[in-house]
Amino acid sequence: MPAPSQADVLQGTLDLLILKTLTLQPMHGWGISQRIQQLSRDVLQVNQGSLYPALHRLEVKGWIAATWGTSENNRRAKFYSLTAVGRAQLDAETESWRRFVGAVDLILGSA
Amino acid sequence: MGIFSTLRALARRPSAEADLDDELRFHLEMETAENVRRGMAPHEARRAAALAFGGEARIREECRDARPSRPLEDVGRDLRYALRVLRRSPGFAAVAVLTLALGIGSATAVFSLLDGVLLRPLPYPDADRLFRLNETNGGEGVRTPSYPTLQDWRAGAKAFSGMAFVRGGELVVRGPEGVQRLVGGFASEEFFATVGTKPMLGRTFAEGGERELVISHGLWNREYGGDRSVIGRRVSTMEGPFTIVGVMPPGFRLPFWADVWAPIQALPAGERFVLTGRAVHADAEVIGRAAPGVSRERATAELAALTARLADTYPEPDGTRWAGALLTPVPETVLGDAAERLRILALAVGLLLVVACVNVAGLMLARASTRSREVAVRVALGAGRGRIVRQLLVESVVLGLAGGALGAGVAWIGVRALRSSAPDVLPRMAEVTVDGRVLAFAIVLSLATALVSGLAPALRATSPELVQPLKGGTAGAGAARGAVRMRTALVVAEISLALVLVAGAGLLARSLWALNRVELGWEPRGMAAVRIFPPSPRYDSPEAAEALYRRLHEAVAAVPGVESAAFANHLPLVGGAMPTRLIAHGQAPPAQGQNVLMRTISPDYFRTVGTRVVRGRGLGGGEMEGAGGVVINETAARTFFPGVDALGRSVTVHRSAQGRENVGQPITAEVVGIAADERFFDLQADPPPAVFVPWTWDVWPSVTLAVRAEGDAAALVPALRRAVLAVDPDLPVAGPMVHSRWTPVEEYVRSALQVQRLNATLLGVFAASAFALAVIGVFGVMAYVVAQRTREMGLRMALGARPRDVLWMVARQALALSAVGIVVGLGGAFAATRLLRSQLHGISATDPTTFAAVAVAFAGAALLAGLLPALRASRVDPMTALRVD
Repeated sequence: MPAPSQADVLQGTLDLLILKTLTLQPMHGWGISQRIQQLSRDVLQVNQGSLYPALHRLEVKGWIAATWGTSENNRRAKFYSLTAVGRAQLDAETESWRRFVGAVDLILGSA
Repeated sequence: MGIFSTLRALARRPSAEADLDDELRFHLEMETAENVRRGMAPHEARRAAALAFGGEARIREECRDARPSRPLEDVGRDLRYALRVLRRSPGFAAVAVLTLALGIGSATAVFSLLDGVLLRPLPYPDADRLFRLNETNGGEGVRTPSYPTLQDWRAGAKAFSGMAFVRGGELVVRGPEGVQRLVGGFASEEFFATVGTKPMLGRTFAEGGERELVISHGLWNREYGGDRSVIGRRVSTMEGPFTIVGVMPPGFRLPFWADVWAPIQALPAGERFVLTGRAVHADAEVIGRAAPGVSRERATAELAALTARLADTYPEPDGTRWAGALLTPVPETVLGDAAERLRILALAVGLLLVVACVNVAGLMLARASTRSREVAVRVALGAGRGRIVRQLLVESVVLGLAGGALGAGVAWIGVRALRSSAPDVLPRMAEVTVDGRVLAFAIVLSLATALVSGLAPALRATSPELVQPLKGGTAGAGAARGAVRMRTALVVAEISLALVLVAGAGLLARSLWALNRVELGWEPRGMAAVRIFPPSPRYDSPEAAEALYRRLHEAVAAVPGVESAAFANHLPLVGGAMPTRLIAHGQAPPAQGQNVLMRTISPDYFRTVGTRVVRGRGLGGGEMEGAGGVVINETAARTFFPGVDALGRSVTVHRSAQGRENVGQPITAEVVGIAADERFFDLQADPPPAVFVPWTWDVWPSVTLAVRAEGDAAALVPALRRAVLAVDPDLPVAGPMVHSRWTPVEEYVRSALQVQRLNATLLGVFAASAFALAVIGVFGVMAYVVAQRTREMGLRMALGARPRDVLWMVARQALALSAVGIVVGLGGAFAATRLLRSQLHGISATDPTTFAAVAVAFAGAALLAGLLPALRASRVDPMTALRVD
């Protein structure tokens, strides 16, 4: 398999990306996948097989809340929004992600 | 995850499924629209969207996994699937449920007995410190202390926080069916404080409350319909008026005969000798409560020391030293051998339950092999082994719970039937119920049963070896052989367990049979009897009692249909007994002691009761008036005159009617006859030595009347009752006590055997069920084996084997299988029937005849169960058999 120009979202970081995406505004599932792809300048491809289970998991945990609303083209759609708990969680996860990346950079830089 | 979010999620599940559909469809539509916007053709756009989306079913599954209610939803789905599967094989489901119901029902019924009789606390606080107190004479002699002795004990004992005396007695009240006796106790004032039980209604005796009455819960329900306003009601009795002040809680029976309690100061005039008589050692019970922290041994030692001092101060006329003390825990006096009998029943139902489980496991195993294709398909579709095992276990749980529900019903009916048909077969029967505790037991048992019988078959059904059939056609020969091996092992286990039960039941049945044929020494058939306790004070004097007994005898003898009538102080099996000391002149006193039963009898006693006078003569009218003589029974003759002829020898007995002025006085007379031994207390015990004296020598304060009928004794009862009431309408011949009514004496024989009959019946039912299950098990395995070998049999027959050869081949296998089970079972039976020893009469616990008969029965039944399928197989046309596949 040739090296992909697009990367699948790393296991475990999807939750973080979803939370971050939702800080701007409530969004439906398709919108979230589009936004991640767009923000990462098409580098990150969200595997939809993981997106929806992740959304449901986060909803059960209470980090995001879901409401049914109407989409841009007047279709009934499920919108997810960030809860207070989710916002706190996002800060914590961002922090730990930064530390992780910094650490990996240190090692890669030292070589 | 909280239980609420789980339940909320479960409640929202249907809409959650619809939402998921909507959400995913929306995504696909958006993606399609996006593709179209990028310039794809619509159908191309939809295809690309679906491709990008990936396996929709898997996404759905993962989204469902995120829901907190997921495990419950799965169980629900398994449950629905299980019900569908079981509906498709109603035969299997019915057999399995009935088998489990049998096992669980019997076990639940026995548990409710165990719970009500043994496990539930007695209604006496700190019952382990409560004892029945007796005096002992250093030998086997045990007697109730007199009231004066109790007072001395109480004055001197420090190891007890309370002691009380209850004199058995009765109150005679006028009821709707005539005058009846309420049997109860006249209790010393510390009685309720010592026992410690609070009344359910009202209060116990107040100090100085002489005419107060506390009644039992049973009497309250029976006579007063459970009316709470009974407190304060006046009861007029022959012994004067009383006021009901309290009702005791259910189960309070202390002493066990008591239905009413009155203060001891209220003793009727004719009974007041109890308060002062040091020689009165009957019809009473002394209860003591050991002080906190005092051991039974220390309390016994202290009481024995006190008793020894009293024995020195008040020597007995006969020289016996009653200088010891015996403390029997009250729970023991209440329960008797109930614990042992219940243990036997529990073991028996345990065995039956295991047999039932094994049988159901065998059924499931058989089904597993026919379902291997279904299992294989599900595995191929991606179900994990754990998932399928869970599914199969849910099926057995459904069967188990259905069996448990049916079984609880069976237990409920069984316990009710037992309670109404044999209310005294165990102590505390009135407290036995199928209640929440028992139901909880049944549920736990159902689940355990389901797991035990379902787990092995479920593991077996999903074993990789068996999950092959999708590849081949039929299960491989190896797999089939494995299943047969497992089922064979189960059937062998079933046979051996069932054999233990059948052997036990066989022993009990033979013991009951032996007891039914026991030589009584007298003839209960055609006899009716009643005990009459003449009301005090009218008949307190010996002269008044004597006149009454003569009139009663005349009246009863005149009843048409009465062949002969007699009376005595006591009759065998009917109740009552009093010892007297017998001195055989010119003989050394026997080692066992000098006590014999004192039997005061009227002239026609031997003819009426049917006791044979073996040598000499009975006591005729002459003996009654003059200084005639006495009759002793064969046991007394053997014990007191070993090796010599007792006839014509002189003996001294002592008057023993309680409360008479002349009690204890000696009478010396010649032995004029020797009577056959009578079984007296029950059918098992050896007949006790007895002396028969003319009734006029020692006029008893109560009397037992007996008649021999020309025909059916029961038919005479109404006329006999009228005859007694015609003499004096105040004579109590009614009430709850069976001996207070005219009763055919055969009923006493029947109730003397009720414990043995119940043992034999219950164990018989359990054993028959286990036997049937084992035979069904053998049949199941043999039918399967034969089905597997139909081809082979066809081939053999095509090659010239005769049907007989094929039959023998199968029969041999059935016999081999049962032989293993029988040998193991006999070993188990040898070990287990030992427990029955105390319940057996006239037969050894390892009776070879019984064991052999049981082994033959099992072998025969196994042979039949094996031959049935074989017969069918041997009739098959060889060509058809060969074409099976």
